[in-house]
Amino acid sequence: MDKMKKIIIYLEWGSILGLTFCVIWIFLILPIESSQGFPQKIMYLHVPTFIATYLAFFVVFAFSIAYLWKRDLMFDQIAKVSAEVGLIFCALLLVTGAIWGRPTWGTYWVWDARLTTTLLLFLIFMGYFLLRMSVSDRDKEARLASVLGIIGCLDIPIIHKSVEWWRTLHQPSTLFKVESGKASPSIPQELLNPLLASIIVILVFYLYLLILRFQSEKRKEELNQLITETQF
Amino acid sequence: MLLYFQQILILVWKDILIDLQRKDNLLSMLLFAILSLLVFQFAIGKVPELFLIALPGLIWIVTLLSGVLGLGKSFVQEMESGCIGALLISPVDRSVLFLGKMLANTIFLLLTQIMFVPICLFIFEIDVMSWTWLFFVLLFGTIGFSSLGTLLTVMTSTVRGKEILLPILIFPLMVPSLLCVVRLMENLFFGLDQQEFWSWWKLLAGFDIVLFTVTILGFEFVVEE
Repeated sequence: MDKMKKIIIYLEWGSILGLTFCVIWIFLILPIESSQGFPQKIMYLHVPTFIATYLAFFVVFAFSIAYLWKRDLMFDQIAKVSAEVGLIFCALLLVTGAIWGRPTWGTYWVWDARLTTTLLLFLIFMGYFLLRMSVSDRDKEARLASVLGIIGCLDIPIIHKSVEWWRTLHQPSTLFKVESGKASPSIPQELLNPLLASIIVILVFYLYLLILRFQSEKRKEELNQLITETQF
Repeated sequence: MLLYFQQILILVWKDILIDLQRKDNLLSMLLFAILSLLVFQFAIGKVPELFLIALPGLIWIVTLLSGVLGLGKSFVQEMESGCIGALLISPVDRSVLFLGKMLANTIFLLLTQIMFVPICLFIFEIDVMSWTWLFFVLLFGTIGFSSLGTLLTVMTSTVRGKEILLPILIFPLMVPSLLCVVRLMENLFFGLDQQEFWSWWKLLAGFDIVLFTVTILGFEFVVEE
């Protein structure tokens, strides 16, 4: 238990210091990028949240399978809290994307494959939590949510593919192309370094939130158990 | 193996018999479909060309809505009569139960569409490129919907607020299939683009295969009580 506490404190300070360091680096040290100007700086939040979101939902997928296989409620708890954190990051991803999109492309929202897929991911996992809320039995909740989590995650690549085809086959998306700064090799080293740093920091932050939520969820369950024990 | 298929057929036949006796499932789904098209016509039918372009999409929106209604209804019957409990303790493989229910749902939904789509085509005077392909589009679209729908109906059947939960879960997951069938139907209604047609077919088939496999595997976990 104490070891866990130590890890949490390390992660907490790691993310606090890391985030402060990244903010200083990005806003005070880094020069303003010439083609996009100041709004480009949101990339350092947008791209890391993108990676954290998809990592979080991949964790949901993996631990849902693990739960159905081993039937250990701990796995389901990890899947649950990862989905929670993933949902927050996903909302952040959508919002930062919209804020970035407005000055860069002149519109908050566009039905591009990546955006639509992310929105649907968000909606699917909102439904996932609605399902969890509607079941009172803990084991049943875990079972149903795991199945839905697996289907939801498997559907995502197909949704992405279909929306991509829908856009490209139907109206050639020559208007603009979404670029995740990460993939394009044209990005100068000067801008790449802070991006990598912020990705690492956000991932540490994700891990911190995950473990913290997992811990509180575990305590909640222990408390519930104590309450039911004292009632008899 | 033969026994396996016989068991499935018996389950499908059971659902058909129930519906032949009650006659309400199919009729209400068809009526609902036609009524919603009417509502759409009042809402956006001011420009006929616009409505015509949107028609394939509207047909599938209507299908999804009436399908969700039909799914919920067919399962409520089973729960009320206690039939589901009897099915679960019967000595058959769980996949038989899933396939039986899923095939019955597919048949009902397909029958509704086979009646509903020609009515639309007649009203709007559309010449379909190929009736066979249209049938296959309807078939494959329905298979994907009913396998996902059957699993999610069973999943939500015993939880609070199931009426609203089912569409909330099913609609975002159905997006790929919806895109495929709507594009395929556009192709069949307004002109064929070979290359596009085939790529949508491949995607639709892939989606159906993935969804069917996952739902049949997931069903075992969902019904264990």
